[in-house]
Formats: sequence, C-alpha cells, structure tokens
Amino acid sequence: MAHAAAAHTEHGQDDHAHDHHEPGFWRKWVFSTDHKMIGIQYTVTGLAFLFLGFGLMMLMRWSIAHGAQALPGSLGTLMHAIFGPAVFDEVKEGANVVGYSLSTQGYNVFGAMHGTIMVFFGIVPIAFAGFGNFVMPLQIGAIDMAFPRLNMASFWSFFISCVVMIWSFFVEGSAAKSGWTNYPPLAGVADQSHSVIFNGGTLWLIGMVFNITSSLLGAVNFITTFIQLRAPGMTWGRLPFFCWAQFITAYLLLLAFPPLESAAIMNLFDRVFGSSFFMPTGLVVNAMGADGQPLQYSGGGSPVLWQHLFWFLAHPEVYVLILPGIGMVTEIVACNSRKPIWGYKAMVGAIFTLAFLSFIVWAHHMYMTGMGPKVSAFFQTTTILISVPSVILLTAILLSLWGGSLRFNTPMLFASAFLPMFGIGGLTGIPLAFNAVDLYMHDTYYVIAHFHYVVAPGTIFAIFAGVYHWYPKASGRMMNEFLGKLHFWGSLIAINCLFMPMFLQGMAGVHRRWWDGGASAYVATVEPVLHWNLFMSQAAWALGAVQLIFVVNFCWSMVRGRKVPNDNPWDATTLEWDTPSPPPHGNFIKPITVYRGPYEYSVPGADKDFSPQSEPPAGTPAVAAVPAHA
Amino acid sequence: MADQHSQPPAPAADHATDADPHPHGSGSHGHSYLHHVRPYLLVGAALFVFTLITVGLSYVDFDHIFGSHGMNMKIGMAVATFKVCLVGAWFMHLKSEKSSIWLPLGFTFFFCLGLFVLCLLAYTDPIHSTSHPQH
Amino acid sequence: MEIPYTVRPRPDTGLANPKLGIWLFIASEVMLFGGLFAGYIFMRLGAEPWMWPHGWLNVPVGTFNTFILIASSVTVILSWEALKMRNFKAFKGWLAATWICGLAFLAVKLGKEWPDKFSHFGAYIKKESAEKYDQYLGNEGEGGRLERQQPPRLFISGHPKNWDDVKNPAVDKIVLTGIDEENHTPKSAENDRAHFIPRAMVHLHEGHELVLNKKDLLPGYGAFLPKLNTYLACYFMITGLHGLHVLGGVLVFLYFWGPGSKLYKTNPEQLCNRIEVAGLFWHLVDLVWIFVFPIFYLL
Repeated sequence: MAHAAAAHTEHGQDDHAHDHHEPGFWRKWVFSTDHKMIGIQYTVTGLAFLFLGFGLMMLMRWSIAHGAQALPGSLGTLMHAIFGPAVFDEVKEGANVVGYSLSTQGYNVFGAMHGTIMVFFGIVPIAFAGFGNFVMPLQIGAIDMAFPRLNMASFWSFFISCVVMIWSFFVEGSAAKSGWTNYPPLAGVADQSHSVIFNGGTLWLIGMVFNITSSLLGAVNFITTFIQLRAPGMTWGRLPFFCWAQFITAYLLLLAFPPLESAAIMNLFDRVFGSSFFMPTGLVVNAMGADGQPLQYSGGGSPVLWQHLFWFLAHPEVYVLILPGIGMVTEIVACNSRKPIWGYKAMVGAIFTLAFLSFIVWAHHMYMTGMGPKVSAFFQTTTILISVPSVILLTAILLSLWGGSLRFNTPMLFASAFLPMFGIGGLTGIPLAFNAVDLYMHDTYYVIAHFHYVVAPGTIFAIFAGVYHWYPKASGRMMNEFLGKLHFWGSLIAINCLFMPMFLQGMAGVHRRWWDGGASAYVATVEPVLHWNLFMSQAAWALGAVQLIFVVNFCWSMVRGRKVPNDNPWDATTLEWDTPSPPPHGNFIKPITVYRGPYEYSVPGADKDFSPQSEPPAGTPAVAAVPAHA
Repeated sequence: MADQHSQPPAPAADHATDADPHPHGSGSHGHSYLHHVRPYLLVGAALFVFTLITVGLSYVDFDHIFGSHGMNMKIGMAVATFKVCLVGAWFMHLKSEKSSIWLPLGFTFFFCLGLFVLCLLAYTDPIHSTSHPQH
Repeated sequence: MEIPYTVRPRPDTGLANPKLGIWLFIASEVMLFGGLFAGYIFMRLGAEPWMWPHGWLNVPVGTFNTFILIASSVTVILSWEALKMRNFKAFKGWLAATWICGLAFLAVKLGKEWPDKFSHFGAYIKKESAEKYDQYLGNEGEGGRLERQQPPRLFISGHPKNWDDVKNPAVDKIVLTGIDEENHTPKSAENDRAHFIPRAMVHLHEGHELVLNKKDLLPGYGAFLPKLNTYLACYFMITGLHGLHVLGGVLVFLYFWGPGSKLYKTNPEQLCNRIEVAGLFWHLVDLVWIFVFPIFYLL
C-alpha cells in the first residue's frame, strides 16, 4: 500500500509539471477524453432523452384520456408534420380535416419507444454513465478514468445509438412498435413490408447493439478505475457508498448485457436473413400476407428464447436503474443529515447479494409463458429472497435520518422523497413475485404503477437530487433554491396523482396496451375505474409543465446562478469536494491522500461537524502523512 | 520505475510466471527460451492430440454403447471442456493468476451456466395440462 | 497527464489496468457467446429430429482450421515470451506467424467453407408431399428409414439446373441435375452415419432430372443459408461472429507487428503487456472455437 501511495503521488506531481496546455475546442467540448466532460455529455444527452421519452408519454396520455379526439390547438398539426401519417391520423368532420390524433399504430410506436428511451437512453446514461463518470473518479481520488480513450469511444458509441433511434422515427412506417421488450414473433414480423434494413424494428436492434457496446466498454472502464485508481489510503472500507453502487452496477451491465446483444443479433438474423430463431413452425399472422396462411419461415424457432435472453438482461437492468439512485441518495442523506450512514457494511453486503441474486430471478417476468411448477417455484423463491437486500438498503438509509440535523435543501428534499416512493414501488412488487397473483396482474396498470414508482419517483427523483447536489461542482454555480423547491413539490404531487390511481385501475384489470384507456374494450368490468384516466393524464401534463421549471433553473443557473462560496458548499466529506469547482483537467491540484471513512460527520471532539476524508487525523502533521518510498 | 525506459534489452524479471531461478543472461537466450516455452509447446501438442481424439470419438456411437441418449454430446463436451481448461490454465495463465482475476471469472461461468441450466429447466418443465399440438 | 498503473501492476491489487480490463472484457465475451450457445441449445432441442442435420460440414477442413487456430495460440505465446526475453526478431517472427494463421483461418472460412454452402441447394419436403418423392427420401418400404427406426428424411439437396428458377417466384418448379448421396441411394444404411469426408454429388443424366414442385417444399428452400433451417442460422451466426473476432485479432496483431512495434524502442515493457493482453483475447477466440468445432462439425 505504501508503495502504491508513493507511485501515485509521484505521478500526480509529474502531471502538473507538463500538463498546462489547454486542449482546443473540439478536444475540450466534443471529442473529450476527460471523464468530467464525458459525464456531462452523458448527462445532458440523457436528460434530453428523458424529456423526449416523457413527451411521447404525454401524447399517449391524450389518447388514453380522449381516444381519437384531435389534439388541442396546433399541437396535432405540429406532431403530424414531425412524425408523419404513420403515427398521426387525420380527424375529420365531414370532408374537412379538423386536426390530428395519435393513431393506434402510433400508440404502439410511442409506447415501445417511451420504454426504450427511458430505460436505455435516459436513466442508464444519466445515473450510471453520467454521474458515474463525473463523480466516481473524483470520489475515489483518481485523476481520470483508467482508459480515457475507451471512455470517449463508449460515449460516441452511445451517441451513434441515439442517432439511430431518433432516425428510426423518420423511416417508412415509423419506429419500432413491438414494445420495449421487443417480443417476437411480433418483433420478427413487424415492419417487414418496408425496406429490409431501414425500418423501425431493424433500426431498433441496430441502435441497441451500439447502445449495448457502449455500456460494455463503460462497464470495463468503471470496474478497472474503481479497483485500480483509488487514491492512497482509499481502502475498500473508506469508499463512499455511491462508488460501491457504481461498481456493482458496472458488473451487472458487464455480465447481463451480452446475452441481450446475442438475442439482438439473432433477431437481426430473423429480420434480415429470414432465419427462424424466434419463429415457431406454422405461425400465422393475419396482417402479413394472406389470412390464415403460415408465414414464409422454415420454422422450428422459439419465441420464449428471446424472453429468456431479454429478461436475463432486463432483470439485472432493474438494479442497474436503481442502484446508482440509491448510491446518490445515500451520499445526499449523509451530507444533509450531518450523520454517518447507518450500517455502511450491511449496505455494501446487501448490494453484493442483490447483484448475485439478480442474475437468477429473471423468469418471474415470464410466468405467463406456461412455466411449470418446479421452475416457477425456483424463481418465486429467489424473487422473494431478493427483496431482503433491497429492504436492508432502504432501512439503512431511513435509520440514517434518525437523530440527524436535517437540512432540507432541494437535493435533500428529492432524496428524502425517494425513500417512501421507492418503498411504495418495492413493496407493491412483492405480490407480483408470486405466480398466482402475477397471472392476474400481468400486463395491467398495476405492474406499470409498480415499476414506475421504482424508477420515476424513485430513480428519477434520485437523479434530480444528484443534479442539484453536484451541479455546483460541475459548473461552479449553485442552482436556484426557490425554483428547485417549486420543482420538487410540483413533481411530488403530480407524480403521485399520476401513478397512484394506476394501482386501482390495474387491480380492476385495466390492460396496459389499450390505446384509448379501455373505453372500447371490456367496459363492463373496468368501467368504475376508467374515470381516473382523465385525472391521471392531467397529472402527467402537469408533471411535464413542472419540469419546465427545472429546465429553466438548469440553464439560467449556468450563467446567472450564485457563484459557489467555496469548493465545498455543502460541507461534505467526500473527495470530490476537495477539488476546485469545476475541477480542472487532472482533477486534484494537490496530491490527495485519504485518512478516514467516507461519512465522518459530527465526529465528537472535532472542531467542525464534518471531517473530510483527506483531512489528516488530529495531531498528525500533514507532511509526515505522505509515506516514504517503501 | 524510471529505469524501464533506459534499458530495453534487459530481460523482465518481474513476471508472475517467471518462477525459475536461472538468470537469463544475454548469452543463454537459446536455452532459457526453450526452457520457458516448453510447457506451451506441450500444451499445444496436447490440444492437437485432443482435437484428433474429439474427431475420432464423434464417429463412435456412444448412445448405442451406453444405451442412453445424448452420450456423444456429453462426451464431446467433456473433451472440449478439458481442452478449454488447458488453454485457460496455461495459455491464459489462470493457474498462476490472482484470485482477483479468476474469482469474477468464476462468477461469470456460474451465471453463464445458470443461463443454460435455468433455460433448460424452464424448457423441460412445461405445464402439462394444457394441450401442446404435436407434429 | 499519465494514468497510473498502465504498465506496472498496482502493488496492493497486483494488477495493471490493461490486464484487468481485458479480463473483464473476456468475461463479457463469455456471456455473449453464452447467449449464442443458449440459442443453439434451444434451437437443437426444439428442432424436429428430421430437421436437425448431421454431417453437413466438411470435417477435414474444419479440423484443419482448428489446428491453425491452436497453432496461432501457441505462436502468440512464443511471440510474447520472445518479447519478454527482449528478443525483438523472434517476437516479430512469431507474431507474423500468428496473424498469418489468423488470415489463413479466415481464408478457409470465406474461401472454401461458406461458398460451399452458398452454392449447394437444399429443400425440406412438406410431410404431406413426402410420398411423391419417397424414391429420393427412402422412408417407406423394405429397408426404409422408418423400418430402421431412423427419423424420416424429408430433405433433398443437390445442384439445381438454374438458380434463377429457385429465386423467381413466378417459376413453380425447380429442376435438380445432381443430388447428394443420401438422396441417390436413400435406403442405404450407409447414409445413417456421418461421413468424415463429404461424398461427391451424384450427377443425374439428362432425362432423369429430379423435378421439385415449390408447393411441396417448406419455406426457406434454396442455398444453404440461415433461412433454410435453424442449424444453419446458428452456424452462420456463431461462426460469423467468431470470424469477426478473428478479424479483430488479426488487425490488432498487424498493428503491433507493424507501426505498433516501434514502442519497443521507448517502452518494451508496455509493448510486452500489450502483446499479452492481445494474446489473452486471441486465446478467448481459440477457446470459443474449441466448443464451436464439435457442436457444428461433429456432434
């Protein structure tokens, strides 16, 4: 360890001797290899996609609430001009076109793309790639990621996937429309009447292959950085929890994503070369070719294979979505309750258990595939087991609040709202772990409400908390507190009005894929809960409006925000607050050594209520702390 | 750390597999080189031989001999796994590698096996009371 | 700015960054090919016994390619050992042998094995039409496959008179001028086992041509392409992706053999690490092939 310390310091001093030339515009802002710039690029791209994905949902909520009525004002005309006739139908009065509404096919397109964009292009890029890139190397005291050029390649691979996904909206027949899970055989045959490559379904797969490649490169980089580039003194027990969460997330991505990549390649083969990986023998699809005639495939494939490979990724993916969020909340709660995290070791142990179990629970998404009792029992058991580490995490953060001197600034508001929201999301998931309940609940709004509580007021609130918390570090300016609080209370109220009634609707049997919210299907059974549709849609639009406050705050603060009073405006302990704001190339202006754990707040006998990790223990002269060459 | 730049011809003495005590002076290149690579050549030869064995075994009808289905596949996979272990242990140096390398790798193989086994389990455990059209 | 531990290992973890990185990458590759092999398992288990073929690939050629790949795995190690001994000439020589082996592997694959498949015609006969072609399938009657308790043969392969007829939807018949041994002597028990060397096609004389009615064929008939059956789909997907990995490895070795070798003058230790890391990737490619070879060629 002492040797490591010396080598690290040696390098650190080296850097500043010959690293004063500033990179040019392109190298600095666009093709940057600096982890902080790449983190910001990921975050900004991800935020843009988050808003795009939410925009698609707001349009879908219109057709859920109002069916085929024309969109208000010139919105319909604008949307029709952008997305074209494949997605927007003309609404006619007599012979006159009076407006445009989302078509039924358009509802499928937007539904599929909403899920894809939110999961793969919104939350993962922000929570994992964005915050992980920006914060994690700073927190472990590294000068950059272990492979800076690989980091850049990872971002640009992600960027290509973004371009492909956006592009897919504008090809004939519009974007993918077989759901974000892309289940075959539907995903194998959809859009086949258009060009072989340039159609929504195929472009979706190509985009996903690039996205997965980006995630894999990022995961390799994150793990290597985490293990290798920790500053001297940054032992495993002194790592902030956020870094542990990112490490585990990277492992999940590394091992869970490749099977989806192989599944995507198989699906590409089916779509481009006409193979039958997912095509069962004698499949008949009325919309394709002559009614009642089997499709022109040699057959012998298995649609369930896709589901296995997809959920082998997508269940760990759920933890990829939530773990960085939990990590951010942990940091913010510790800082703003001025108290160490309760049960740090239990939390780290819990995420290891969580990661391990998350690989053997996937088929609880597949109870409907006719799974037999043995397999079903296995997956029900592991699914119930995995709730234990999740509860440990939530409990530990909750107990950390106990007896703290809470500061309710904007990041803390979002972080503390995360706890009950994630709790609702998690607890409502437990019934779904059981086959008997799930067969009834499958594909109803209950499931939608459950996982949206986990990711929307869960992870996305954590992301907002993170943005408000680390914005001063990234930009050197504070975000506006008043606008931030307005954003928080508006979001909290609207998001609960949006998702809470979904539990009611789901338990009554409202199906997630009814484009008009159920008005034309099975009215007799779901009638009593359909009136919630309009209320929920209005809540969704209100939620969208509230986000504008955030956009304004984000942009305005960048130029007009209050300058940070010092490098550590929140009086936090972790290493990222030991650098200037924004941190320069190479991050730390002095050699950094770690002397203490991550959450030494309110240490008895200390002269202030926080002891930064880089602060030597009382009585130790700073010079002696740098170990001699061993 | 600085001396690595100044003397490129010096043999690297710090490698993990570099366990033999003989000094490699510039004069004894030939001998120590052969000494070093002998295990690799042996493993390579073993891989050649086992490839031929695999090919040969595939023409023996083990299903018939053992009276059980899929025996050829099981035996073929066993030989392939053995070959893979040879490559992993010697060519990829896993036999002398640190636990920080092979531990995560072990998890990887575990999850990979989990993928196979659980998929197979799901495949072989359908609900029997519903009708499955038989061809 | 210099990232620490790019060349020398970090003392407390005992690892240099590139080595850790490549092992993580290899772990993800294991999962990638694991997913593909899971596909193979599903396809093979789900296939009807008459639809999953045996002995379609040329075993001597495949064995030859296996030898090439094993040899290249040895040469890359020799090249790395040579570099560790600071023997630059031997390093270059063994590395050249490695990428030449890689190229030879690709040449055999793309020059011989795949084109053989692209120029071979195959079709599955629908069950209800099998009777019409039974003289070529040999399922019924004395000495037939059903009597020998073999799964029925519903596959006819050979050489079409005119490939355009196969592709043109307006033409409803395909004329074969040559057929494979299994269809030529369909009741021979000799056909029940796989053959080491593929047997030559039997040419049919003028007037004895075999005429296939497209209505009698399962979709996907034509050249031996992924659409013909799931075996070929798996074969092309897995060997194709494996081939891409070989190509990637060859490009990397070409770089280290050419411009990349200049690093020897300034930092031989780092070059040595790079060859080790590239070598680890190359062994992975070999390792995947060790499984690919038996499951497609032999079993």
